[in-house]
Amino acid sequence: MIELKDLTKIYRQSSELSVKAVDRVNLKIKSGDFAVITGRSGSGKTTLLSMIGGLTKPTYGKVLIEGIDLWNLDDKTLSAFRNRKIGFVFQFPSLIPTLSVLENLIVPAVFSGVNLKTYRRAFTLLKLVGLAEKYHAYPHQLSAGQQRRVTIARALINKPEIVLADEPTSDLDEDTEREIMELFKQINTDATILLVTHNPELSVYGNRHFRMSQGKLTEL
Amino acid sequence: MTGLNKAKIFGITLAILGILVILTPHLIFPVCEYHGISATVILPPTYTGFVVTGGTATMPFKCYWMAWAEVAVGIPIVVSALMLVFIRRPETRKVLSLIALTLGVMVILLPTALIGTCPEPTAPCNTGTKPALLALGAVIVGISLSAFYTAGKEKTPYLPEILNTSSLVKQDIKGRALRSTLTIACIAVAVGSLFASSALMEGINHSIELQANKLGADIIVVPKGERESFEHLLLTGMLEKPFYMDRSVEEKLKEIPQVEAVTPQLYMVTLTEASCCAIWSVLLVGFDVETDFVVTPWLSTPLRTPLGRDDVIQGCYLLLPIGGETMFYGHHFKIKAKLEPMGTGFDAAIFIPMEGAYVMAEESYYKAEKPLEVKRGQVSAFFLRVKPGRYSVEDVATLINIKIPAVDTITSSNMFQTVRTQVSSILQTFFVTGGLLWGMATALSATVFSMMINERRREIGLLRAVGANKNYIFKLLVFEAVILALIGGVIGIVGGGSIVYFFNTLIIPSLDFPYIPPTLNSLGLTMGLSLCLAVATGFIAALHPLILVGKTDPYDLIRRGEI
Ligand SMILES: Nc1ncnc2c1ncn2[C@@H]1O[C@H](COP(=O)(O)OP(=O)(O)OP(=O)(O)O)[C@@H](O)[C@H]1O
Ligand SMILES: [Mg+2]
Repeated sequence: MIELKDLTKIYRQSSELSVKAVDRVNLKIKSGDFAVITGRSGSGKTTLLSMIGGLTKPTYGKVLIEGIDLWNLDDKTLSAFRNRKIGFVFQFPSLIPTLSVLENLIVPAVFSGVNLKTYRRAFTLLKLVGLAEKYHAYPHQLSAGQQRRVTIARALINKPEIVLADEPTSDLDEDTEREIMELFKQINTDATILLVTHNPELSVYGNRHFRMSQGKLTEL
Repeated sequence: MTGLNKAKIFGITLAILGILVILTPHLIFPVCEYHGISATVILPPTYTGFVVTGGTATMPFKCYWMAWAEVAVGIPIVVSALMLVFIRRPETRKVLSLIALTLGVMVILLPTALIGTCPEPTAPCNTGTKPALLALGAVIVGISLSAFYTAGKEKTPYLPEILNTSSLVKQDIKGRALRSTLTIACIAVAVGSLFASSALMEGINHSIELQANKLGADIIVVPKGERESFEHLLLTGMLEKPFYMDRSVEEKLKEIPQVEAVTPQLYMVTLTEASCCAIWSVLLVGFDVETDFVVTPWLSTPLRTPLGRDDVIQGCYLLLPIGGETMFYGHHFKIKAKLEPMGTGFDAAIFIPMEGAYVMAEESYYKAEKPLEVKRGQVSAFFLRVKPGRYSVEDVATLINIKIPAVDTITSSNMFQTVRTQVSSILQTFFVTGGLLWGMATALSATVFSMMINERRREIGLLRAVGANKNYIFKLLVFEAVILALIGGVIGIVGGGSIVYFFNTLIIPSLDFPYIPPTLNSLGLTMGLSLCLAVATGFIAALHPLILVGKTDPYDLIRRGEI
């Protein structure tokens, strides 16, 4: 279960100008939920997701996951938590350019221990995202959509309980978008999903739909 | 163990062996020419170690070229060995092993078939260098063969290694070739120049120290105006014009209460023209067996029986058989013992008990073609030891100058003054340049590291996002910087070593300075320090990314990489 309490992020852009990217968000999400968050560009969706994922420290407020106060953990525990419990799909290409597809996929497992099973799982996931033949390719040899799918596979390598996906289908054609959303539905059987998109139509894939506007979150 | 890991072990071993091949003929088992004053020592004609001075011609001999050829073979061995460590493709590694194999064969062939060594079987190149090189070559051949077979047996064309810190680092070093090369080059230049200058500095200091101490004397007393003749003699072993004074000076010296011990020496030289009597031109040193503290401490083995009147001791460069006979000015002498290398002109001298020397001089009037001018009761120099206490060596020297106007005094602090200033000014330039280069290299590699910061920031952010903690990232960055620094450091030391070698062989002889290379221990220490310096440079270069990672949220690291 994810619980947010007064979660706020204020960015100081200059000495007099500061931006409330996320403004006192309160939210409860049960295990197994598929939450779709829509909102205009700059409304704070990424910031919210990244605070939940332990990647951006809130200005104040709390993120509780299974009752654990995420931002009260020390760096080591928080890192391990990110590694085991959370899979993050970034808004932009996020593969390591010097590593092959397979190696990129394995990276999160490096921090929890790699064994032969990891490789089997990596190949299963590559099949799932339809890139089994591309395991030896390097990121620059893939299309944007293929890169995105590798990123999704990477997010799943450690069997996370929570998957945070930030615009996973932007810049993809409709057919691929549908395929990927179906993929997330499939993933949803094992994991709680928070998916951010600017396309309100995608809310049909989730069981809960939120809207973000100027840092405020409302459930629709 | 996987084939890849085996290849790494082979590669590292080969690299070490390659370095040994480079070092062996120069430092570990130096070939003949390395003992310093080669250019001026007159050697028996049979001894074709490094130089034979026939009149003015000086030419290097086989083992000298062989030593250089081994360097030329050793460097590619190190390079291909390091490639063996870093390259994954079995096919490439097969080729590299073959190259190493060929080079290993070259290591063996150079001192045997291709160039060879000196004909003299007891010369250092034959007793030390050659066997060592043969052994090294054999091991290199063996290891390259094993590396070749392991690489050949690997069948899996591609199975990614299990990722760990070191393979991530390796990917990064390979993936950012420009940055890696630049950093390595910077560090290599800096470490190389600093290593070279400090190794040389050490060598010079070591030599001066030895020079001053090896005589075991605090003060040397010579006839007035003969300072330079004496220094020249000490440096080169050549006596241009004999100088003598009366032995009665000894009594006056002994009267000075601060003088602890006095021993006289007498310098003469055989004549090359006097072919009937002397075998070759050589410095003859008469010394007082009773009071001596200058010569006998250098004996390579202690004397079993006391020296008789006609028993002589030979310096380390002379290769007369012990127990054999020789003749100077018509007088027969028996070779009784040999000295350790002193690094002075005395290394090519024959030491004769004072009484024997006088008898030889007296007999020379009717036995030799040209008689010796020295008379019984004359000596060339006195070596003095000063009692420890209230008066410094300089005080005592001044006292002697006042009391005995007919003599000059030489103390270790004023010995070789001109050479010292000459050498130290060269070295200062070297050292300052080295320091500047190091500063530049540090700044440059730090810049290179920071230049790549956007890409790294993003990559580090990503690693953080998928579970790497700060500690891991620190290790990653430091590990990478340190590996680059170490590679640079090793290259620098090899390069700096070549500079030292160049300096030793080309510049030092022209300075007329009895240079003794620093001991292996101190050289090892300098190497260690240079590597530490390299690692420190790596740390400094990695500092900026380190600080950044420490204080930035993972997402901000990634986001800033977007630009
Ligand atoms: N590191 C930062 N420093 C300053 N301001 C920031 C920073 N990150 C985000 N912001 C600001 O916070 C607000 C929310 O940004 P955020 O990236 O969360 O929006 P978003 O909803 O994800 O937009 P998009 O749909 O375009 O991705 C924006 O106004 C942005 O300018
Ligand atoms: Mg966004």
